[in-house]
Amino acid sequence: MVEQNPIQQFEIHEIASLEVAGYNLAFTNSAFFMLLAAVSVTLLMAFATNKRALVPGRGQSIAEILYGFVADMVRSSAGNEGLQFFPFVFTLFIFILAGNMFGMFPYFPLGIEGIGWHGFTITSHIIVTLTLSMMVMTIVVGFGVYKNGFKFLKLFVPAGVPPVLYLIVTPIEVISFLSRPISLSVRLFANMLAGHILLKVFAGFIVMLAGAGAAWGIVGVLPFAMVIGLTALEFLVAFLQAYVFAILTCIYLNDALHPSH
Amino acid sequence: MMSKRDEPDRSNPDDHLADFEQRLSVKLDAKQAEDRKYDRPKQGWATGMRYGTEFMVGVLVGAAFGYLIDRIFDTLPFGLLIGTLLGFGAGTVNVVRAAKELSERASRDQEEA
Repeated sequence: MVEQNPIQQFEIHEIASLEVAGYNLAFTNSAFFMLLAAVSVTLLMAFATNKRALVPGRGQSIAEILYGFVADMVRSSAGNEGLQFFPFVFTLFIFILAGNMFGMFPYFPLGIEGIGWHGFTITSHIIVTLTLSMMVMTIVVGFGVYKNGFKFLKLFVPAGVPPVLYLIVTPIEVISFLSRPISLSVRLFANMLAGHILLKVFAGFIVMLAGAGAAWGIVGVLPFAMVIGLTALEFLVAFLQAYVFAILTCIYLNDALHPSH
Repeated sequence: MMSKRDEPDRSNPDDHLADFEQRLSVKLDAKQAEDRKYDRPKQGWATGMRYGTEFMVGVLVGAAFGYLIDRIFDTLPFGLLIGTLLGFGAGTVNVVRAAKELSERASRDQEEA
């Protein structure tokens, strides 16, 4: 029988088990897809840029467009000073984009005993997206304090407010700051999770209708059309969420560079 | 169709290159302005999602913050109450900031176009 559980795609499977000091550090399918994303992007970029032609070929054009796209994004949100974080933002963007895009393969040849071919979206797990966003916030706080010292705390004390109101405004600013890594990670995770569940649910309808016998199979055309539409939407979401994550990173880095709004 | 005037002077390599750059940049700008027209509506989904999470997370973090203070000072439920209220404020601040960023970017794009 065809698997119809829409949540099963998010299961973690061990590929190679490893235990260090009582902690389970197994190499899982999640780790495999992260590695796949990182390695494929590195190879793509290395191949695309190794010729360094004056008139770029197809590969080099892709690399140059990506570079220009991210550099524009950093410059427009964090200014020219922000360009020192370009490598970080570029890596984040391309890693999330690659992870989302690899997640769009419904089946991927992965030789694990018992599960065989399967798809997996690394960004559909909140632990992955939260780690990425905590990395961003660590850099924002670390660099902000390193560069501005105590002036970084001006972020929580906006100028031009009557002194009495600081009693309310400062806690609000602190909460607003604390909510950033969570909203950053929850948005990416929720988008990918919801989208992939929706895809599998509608795909499950096709199988159920086909199995219902008689003329029900013909009705299966409707969810099939839905799945096609949703797949297109998911490709859009995969790109947009990577973009949103990267651009918000730039905006937060801008706060670290210029804390006094 | 290219008129006689627009054609580059191929005898002078510097002029040729400069001319090429100029013609290329004119075409690129036109193309980008054209592309931008199709960009806008696509982002509606991302924008809505952004406002939603910004507000929700503000409230949740505010409540968690208040609850944490309650646990430390044993003042339940006052920390939770005040924290949630402040969280609503923080969520609203988040949404206002997000709206400001997006409208700033939109107006900047319009100027460029």
